[in-house]
Formats: sequence, C-alpha cells, structure tokens
Amino acid sequence: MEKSKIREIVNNFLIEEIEVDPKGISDEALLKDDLGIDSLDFVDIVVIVEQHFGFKIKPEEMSGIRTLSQFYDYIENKVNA
Amino acid sequence: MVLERREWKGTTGGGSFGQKALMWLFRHVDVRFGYALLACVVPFYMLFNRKGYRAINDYFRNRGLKHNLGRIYRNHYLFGQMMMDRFFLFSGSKQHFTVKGTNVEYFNNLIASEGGFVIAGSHAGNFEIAGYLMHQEKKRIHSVVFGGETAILQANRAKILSGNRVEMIPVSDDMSHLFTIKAALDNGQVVSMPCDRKFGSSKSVSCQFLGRTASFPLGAFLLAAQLNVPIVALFAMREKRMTYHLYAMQVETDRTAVKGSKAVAGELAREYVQQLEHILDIYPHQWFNFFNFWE
Repeated sequence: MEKSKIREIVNNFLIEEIEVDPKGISDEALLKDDLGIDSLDFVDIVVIVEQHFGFKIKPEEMSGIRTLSQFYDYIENKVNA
Repeated sequence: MVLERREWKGTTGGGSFGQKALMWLFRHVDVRFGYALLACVVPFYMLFNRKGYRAINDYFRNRGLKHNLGRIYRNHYLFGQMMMDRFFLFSGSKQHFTVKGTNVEYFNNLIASEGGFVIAGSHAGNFEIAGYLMHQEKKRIHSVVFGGETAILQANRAKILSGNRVEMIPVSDDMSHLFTIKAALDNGQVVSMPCDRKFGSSKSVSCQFLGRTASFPLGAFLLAAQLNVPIVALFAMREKRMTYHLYAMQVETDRTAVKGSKAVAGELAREYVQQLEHILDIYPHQWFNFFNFWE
C-alpha cells in the first residue's frame, strides 16, 4: 500500500472518528499533545487500524511513536512487511 | 455554597495500617461489633470531613430534600457499614451475607455467552462486593482500578477476588491497560469499570442527573461502543439484616441510530445515568461520592 493512501485513511479516521481538528494534522504533530489523542482514542485507533490495515497493534511497538509521521511510517512498515 | 473540587482525586480514604487493622479485627470479631463502633465514629466523621458532608447534603438537596442531620448520618453510616462488610469479606471470614438478585439472569446469560462484555460500576451501593458475591466459573472478570489505593488493599483485594475469577487491571500512564482491556474483551472475557468517577481520561459526557447537569466518564461506554460489546450496569445495594440485593441492568441503545463510537457511547451513558437514578430512587441513602458531583 502506498504511503499516500495510508495518510488518507489515517487522516480520515482521525477527523471522522477521533474528531481531530483537520487544521492540526501535519507530519510533525504530536499525537498526544498536538492532536489531543488520549488513551481512549487509542482504543479506537487500534480497532480502526485492525479493520483498515488488517494487523494488530502491539503495545511495545507503539511505545516509541510520538508524531503522526512516525505513525504513518509504522503502518507502512507493518502493511508492506 | 461553592465546593472547591469536583473531580475525584483517585485515592480512597484510609491508610494501610487502618486497612490492615480492620482485616485483622474481622478475623477475630463479628462485623456487627464494627458496626457498633462505627455508630460512635460517624458523628466525628461528619464533623471533621466537611467536604464530604457538604457533598452529600448537596446530593440530598438535588433530591428535593432539606438539610437533615439524620439523613446524612444514615448515608455516612451505611457507607462505613459497607466498607466494613468489604473488609469483613476480604479478611476471609466465613460468615455469609444473604444475597438477593434482580435480573441477575441477564448477567448470567452474558456470562454463559461466548462474547466479552463490560460491567458498568458506580459508587451507589457497594459495587466491589458484587464481584465477590456473584459467583461464576466461566469468565475471567478484569476490574479496572486506579493506582491510588494502598498496596495492602490492592493485594488483599486481588487475593480474595481471584477466587471468583476477578483480576485487577491498574490504569497506567503508558496505556498498556487498554491493550489488556481490549485483549480481554476480544477473548470473550469481562471488563468492569467505574462509571461515575473521572480518572485517567478526560473524555466525559454531561448528563441530567437528579435534575442537574453532571459529568460522567465515557470510558466504559466508549469501550463498549468501539469494540461492539454489551454493557451491563451492576449494583450491590445493602438492605436490612445483612442482606445485599444485586441488580443487573442492560445498558443499551440503538447503536445504528447514531454515527461514530463517541455518539453511541454518549447514548449508552445517558441510558446508564437513568438506571443509576432508578437505583437511587429505591436506595436514596446509598450514594457514596463524597465530592461535589454536579457542574
């Protein structure tokens, strides 16, 4: 899957499901501090990633992910592995 | 009157020495001895814990009742009594309480089913005792707890409740508890969460509760919505003569009528609040949130 498609899917669910402000979405945006994603949103993200990308997020894999760009990269690596 | 703080700070009163002492005491004496002591202690508690006193007075005022010392005394006494019952059970005492149930078959059906579900708990009655009194063999119940309680209480609680297939999931900063919760529900197990105290997440919904607006945490309802599992409200209410009455109430809404998990969670929360009001109509003295609950 191409990265642009991954971006589109991720951005869409952040805006539609997590109700993130579209203006705040950028590669450098911090998931927690800039986008306001909290622990419960994270469950949504885990569920949606499973549905859209077909893999399960492991907690240890998420521990180093701080920015949206890192999150896109993480999904790209998992999907294209 | 303005109350200083609306949010629960995440700790339960009482130090580890007191908790240890209570469990030691109840290994040697009947819990009713504790009740007699409690009757003498409650007036001092009312006198010195003004914040709790005002919060309960506020609660009764919302019920349309004027200030009444006897009513507040009864609330505090019942709270103490139910705490003692909890320690009495945790001490491993053999004496049993009488247990009655309403709609418990709904809970039992969920237990018998293959899927996971969420239990919505509250501080009306003694939710924790429900986990002890509802014996079941099939599913493991994961109880989400906040880290503020003393280690001795957590350890004893875990030890006693493990016999009923109840395990603790402490809320952690690294969000690992959410993976545990999700895995439990995915595996057809049960997760129980308090639904009347905000802690660990800022997500909440404003609901009309006893005629005024109050903020309820969305956590349990969001999980039920996100993972598409049932949610059941469970209450353990104390009645006379060492009796606990367990209530299981289905919390449900038409999940297809609104879009998105947050909207579904909001509807579930409003349904739950109505059930909470219903229980408190039957047991008006058993509301045990000793902080300013309303906005």
